[in-house]
Amino acid sequence: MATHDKTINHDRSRSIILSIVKHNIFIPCAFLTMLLLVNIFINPGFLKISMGADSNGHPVLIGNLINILSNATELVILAIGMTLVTASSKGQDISVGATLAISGGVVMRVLCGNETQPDSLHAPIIVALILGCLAGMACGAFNGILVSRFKIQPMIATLILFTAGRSIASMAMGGLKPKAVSSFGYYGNFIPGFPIPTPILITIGIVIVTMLTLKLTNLGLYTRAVGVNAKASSLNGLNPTMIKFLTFVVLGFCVGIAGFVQSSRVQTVNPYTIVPGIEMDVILAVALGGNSLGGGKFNMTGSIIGAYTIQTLTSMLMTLNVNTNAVPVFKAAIIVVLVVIQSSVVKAFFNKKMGELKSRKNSGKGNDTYVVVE
Amino acid sequence: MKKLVSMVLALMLVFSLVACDAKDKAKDDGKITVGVVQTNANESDWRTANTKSMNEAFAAAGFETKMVFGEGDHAKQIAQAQQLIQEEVDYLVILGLQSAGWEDVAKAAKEAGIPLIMADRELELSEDLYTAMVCSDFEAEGVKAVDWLKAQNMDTVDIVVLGGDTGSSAQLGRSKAIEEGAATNGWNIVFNQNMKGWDETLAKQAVTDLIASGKEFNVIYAENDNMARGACDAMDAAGITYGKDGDVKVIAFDANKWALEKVLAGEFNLDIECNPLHGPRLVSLIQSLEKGEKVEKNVYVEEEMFDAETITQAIVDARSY
Repeated sequence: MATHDKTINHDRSRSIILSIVKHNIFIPCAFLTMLLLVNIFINPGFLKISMGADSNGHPVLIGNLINILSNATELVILAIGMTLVTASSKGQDISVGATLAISGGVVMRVLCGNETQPDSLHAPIIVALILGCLAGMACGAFNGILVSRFKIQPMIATLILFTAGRSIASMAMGGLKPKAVSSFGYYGNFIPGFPIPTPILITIGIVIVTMLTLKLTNLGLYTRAVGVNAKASSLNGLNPTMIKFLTFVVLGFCVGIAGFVQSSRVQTVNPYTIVPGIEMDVILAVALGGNSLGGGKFNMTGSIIGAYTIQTLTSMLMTLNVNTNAVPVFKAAIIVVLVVIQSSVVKAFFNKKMGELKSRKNSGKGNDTYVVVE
Repeated sequence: MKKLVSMVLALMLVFSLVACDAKDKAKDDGKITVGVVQTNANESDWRTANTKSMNEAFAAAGFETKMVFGEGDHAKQIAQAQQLIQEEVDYLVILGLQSAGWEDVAKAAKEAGIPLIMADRELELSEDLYTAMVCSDFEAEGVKAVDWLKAQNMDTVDIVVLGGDTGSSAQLGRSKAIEEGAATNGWNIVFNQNMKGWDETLAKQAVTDLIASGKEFNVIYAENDNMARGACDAMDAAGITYGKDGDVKVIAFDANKWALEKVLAGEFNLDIECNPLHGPRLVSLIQSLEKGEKVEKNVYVEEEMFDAETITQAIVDARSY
């Protein structure tokens, strides 16, 4: 009798876990699909992708979908790093926009030196990329030390660079606003002759590397463990300080790559206006991905889908030509809906309804209504 | 004992304050201090030229300059202006990020007897609250563009308006001119949104999105040079021709040197000047105020426009910024 009970419990717990897993990816996907459907409804040609040519005659793909995939690059890359930081430190890094300005500024300074319109690049692009990433990682390390060693709340710790970062970027650029030669633009636009925008390829590369890292190393497991219970994980031989620090450095690396792509888009960086308000979009992407901003478990795929959802929304408001003053209101209204649907209260409500339906079906077998509350 | 120590310390504090004050006064002697509330350190090339012009002219005239930057934050600018008033600068020059919300600053300056000068962008203040104004007439700039467009006699006019920072007087004036121009001339505005921060990236994204969604347009009305450059980048990527010999006419504002080079190359059709060299004008204004001369209260800077059909190499070469 006892063994029989255990198997039932086991089955039930497995089905609960299954339903949660299904939920975690299902909801972000549903949002994205919903937004895409709205877009198609408003503009039937939304999904159309056509082959065009740029002014030099090179083939390029043109289409809204291509634009969204390409423009979401920075958001996706930052969301990957932010997910890890959120999971390990139970807080968010609000300085990513400012530190992106720093790494973008470093890239421009390395490429242009002290000239505003140089005829050639002052350094190989790979050097600029590496230095840009190092600048991002240094900022990440600074935040990481404050959070992990000095136990400052992530939002307070990163507030420092949030406030000062753009000025630092301006100083790093020597107060200039240089414009690099157009060959630097290959990384944020197209490589001549290849029709797919380079940022899309970079995103694919970064996503593959991330997924492999999570699969092949213990980074994901350790991050989760530290986020769920730092004390318990330290009793189990992990070093929570080190792991929190590492996640911030990883985010810094992501910032470096994003800064490089962003500065390549128009081959210039304006430290004060580059990626305005991206911090909030990135945090929102993580939240839309079904992640708890309180840390612990995380869902990387969800964050990535969340990032694409936000970019779709931004792009939609742009093409709809919504009155500028109303854009933030529209965005907020849609986000409120998305976030409320995902709240634990609404989730519990639906689960209860589902459970009732199920129990009605299985009424012969008894009343086994259960509620899943996250 | 404790009381005695604290009293001594308090006295020392008071004396040190007095000493500071005395030193400040001594330093100020004979030298005019001008407090400048500037927008951003390197918002655009235009702004860089603007800042440089003021710094150089003030230094040459022997003024001491205290320049602070709002860095995109309107509230910060107001706090900075209040701070400068407390520091008792002799003149307060304000280049406001936003045109509204300056009443308290103006009143405080008036109470402190500090003349307030609005430069570059007009602020929404009543006449008695400021001393003088040296500004660009942004609406008039926009009207110049509208008149030029009218003279092109195009069959259909589908305009993409790339606006600047929402609420700045440059954006308000330039947008108003084209919106009214379109209404009276029966032109079609395909797109009209403001790009945060006046820079290339957002303008480029907007135009790329427009092209992808198949919107037809034949005029780009970009409210500064940088956004026009972003729009051109987007059209390049999609193989749309623009400029003097192209399908899309490009109108830009500010007329930086690099932008005039683009006008000369036929990439921009029209660039309307917004003169950033406020330094010398402010110096002569302050000098007349010092002498107690009567000054003209509201001065609009004279501005030219540059057409791709008529621009010459000499004009571009003469440009210093």
